[in-house]
Amino acid sequence: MTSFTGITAVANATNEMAMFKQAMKEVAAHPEWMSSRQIERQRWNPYSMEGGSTCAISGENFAIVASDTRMTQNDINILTRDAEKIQILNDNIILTTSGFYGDVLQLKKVLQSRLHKYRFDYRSDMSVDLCAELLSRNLYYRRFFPYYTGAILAGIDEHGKGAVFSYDPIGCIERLGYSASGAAEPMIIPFLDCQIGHVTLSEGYERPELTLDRAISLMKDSFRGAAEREISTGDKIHLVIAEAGKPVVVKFLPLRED
Amino acid sequence: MGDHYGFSLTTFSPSGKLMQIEYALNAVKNGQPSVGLRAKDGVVLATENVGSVLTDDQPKVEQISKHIGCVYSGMGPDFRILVKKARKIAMEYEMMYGEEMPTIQLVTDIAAVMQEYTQSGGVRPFGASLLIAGWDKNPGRPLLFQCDPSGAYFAWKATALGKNDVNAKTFLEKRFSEALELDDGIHTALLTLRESFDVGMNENNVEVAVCNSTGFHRLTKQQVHDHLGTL
Amino acid sequence: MSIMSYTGGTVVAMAGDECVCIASDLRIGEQMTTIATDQKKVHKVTDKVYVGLAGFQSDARTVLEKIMFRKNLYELRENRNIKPQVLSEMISNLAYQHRFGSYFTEPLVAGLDDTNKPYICCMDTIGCVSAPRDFVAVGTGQEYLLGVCENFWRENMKPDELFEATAQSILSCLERDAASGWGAVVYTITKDKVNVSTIKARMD
Repeated sequence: MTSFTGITAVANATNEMAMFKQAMKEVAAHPEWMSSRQIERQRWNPYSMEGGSTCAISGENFAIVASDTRMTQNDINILTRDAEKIQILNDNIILTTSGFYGDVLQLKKVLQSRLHKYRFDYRSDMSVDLCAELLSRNLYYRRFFPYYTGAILAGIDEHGKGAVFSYDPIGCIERLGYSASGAAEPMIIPFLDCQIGHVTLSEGYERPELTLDRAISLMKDSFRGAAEREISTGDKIHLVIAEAGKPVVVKFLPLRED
Repeated sequence: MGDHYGFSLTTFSPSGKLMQIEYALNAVKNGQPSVGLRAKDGVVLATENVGSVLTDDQPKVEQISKHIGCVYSGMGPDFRILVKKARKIAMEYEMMYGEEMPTIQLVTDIAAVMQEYTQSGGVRPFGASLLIAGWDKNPGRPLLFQCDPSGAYFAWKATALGKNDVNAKTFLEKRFSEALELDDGIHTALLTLRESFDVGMNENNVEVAVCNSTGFHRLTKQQVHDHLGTL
Repeated sequence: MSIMSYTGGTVVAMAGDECVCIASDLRIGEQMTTIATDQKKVHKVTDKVYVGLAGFQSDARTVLEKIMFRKNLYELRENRNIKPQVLSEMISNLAYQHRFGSYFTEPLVAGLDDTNKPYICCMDTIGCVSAPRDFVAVGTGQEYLLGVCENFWRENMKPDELFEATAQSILSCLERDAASGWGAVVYTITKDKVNVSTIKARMD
């Protein structure tokens, strides 16, 4: 009798063990503490893209910067028609960024504070070349959690010449005659290649120097074309004109609003 | 499936004729007469449609696509099968190429269907001849075709099918002119039809349809009545 | 890398006043490797109708053969030249017949109809036709082209202006699109002749 109950006890024990193991497995696969909110958080993406395009053109003694003022969500919803993507950092440095708007604002703040400190330290405004290098380093500082932005820095350099610096999100820097960034970059760039870079012109043809008026009108055309085809670009052109020895001029021009 | 054999009923007679087709043509010859006539700016189809006083009207003229329609002489049920097939062919063409089927294309396709029924196993030829009226947009012109049970088809300026077709055609030969306008065409077609009528023509035993640049239209009873009044 | 950009290549077409222009680049590659530098992606269908096939060129060849097969049958059956509108509808049908296992090529049709009205259209891989009045572009350089064409296209251009606009557009595009290049070929289709010109661009 005793032995009989003993066997039953052993049988029950192995059975219980199997059940316990099964329960452990289930809990490991679907832990109860994993609420839907936590599952959501696991899928959370630190970045988003608010669309929009920016562009900068430099000439002999000027640099102009433009961006659209639309901010979109998922390329479908318009969040605002008055987003500022251009920051005038000082009289001869203009920063324009597109991409993740949170990073755009943060980048602006970082640069502003660095420029502010520079004024205290050296009692003069930073030059655009220095600022360009500074921006590059700031971007690379976050090599493994980058600012999700396509930045362009433009302005008038120490020699009174127009300057445009183009960046990738992690601070690869290049000084160019013109640059574009953002959603409509592939639409704007080849047009400027043709009209300013004269890349389609055979060798030996005269390549007239770029005037401010022509640069502005090309800028308008670029954005008009981009707004026609690219849905996250539109509403208004925010145009900033920096000319050597003159104050910075800011203009808003109309653009497609649909 | 292996135990099923299909034989064509239409086999050649020693004299080289397909008797089934001859009989089908006889079915047409005994049918109610139809007349087709091509005017300068459109095509007219007219046919006798005598029903019993006890039946409701059943149209004999059918539209196939926007600018194509047809009428028949012979067996009504066979005609309806052909119309069903014709409409399907025309719609498939439109879906394939995005424009309306040219009349001649439809005629060749319908003729091919009719030919198939003279050569396939387990079927008999259609007991109906068709008059197909169409308007081709490019270049804008009226077209009139006849399709026979054998699969033969003809382009006509004017022709007649069914009872007394020989007389009707002789009549048309005398009356037809290339200069006819659509209204005169309707008039001539009705006159031709009258040749083979034993009773008085009225809007209840005659059907008329026209096909011009605006499409294929059946005339209303009132319109038929008005035209008959001018005869 | 997507199969659509495996071989690379770009085609563009523009409409003018009783004329159309259709142009393609000449490169064919296997991803980053250039295989041939004389591969036209524009093909003659009739005297006044041309078709461009961008995307995966192996599929493009097959599709071209199927298009010619259907077009030849059509012309024999109907005893007339095919109109660009009809051709595009036909290609669209062909493409959609392979709805679930499509050919990786985006066709583009450009031509003059029997009244010499210009017709251009492009479609996706399963035959959704878009036939605007101004210009169309397909292939790896599509985005570049759309941006440039938007600025260069004008209403009612004459054949020489149209050629210039098309040539400048595709040259600007080739400047930036690494998957297309090695020059371009431009067909200017007018009511009485077709002008073919091969132009040099960045040869890389």
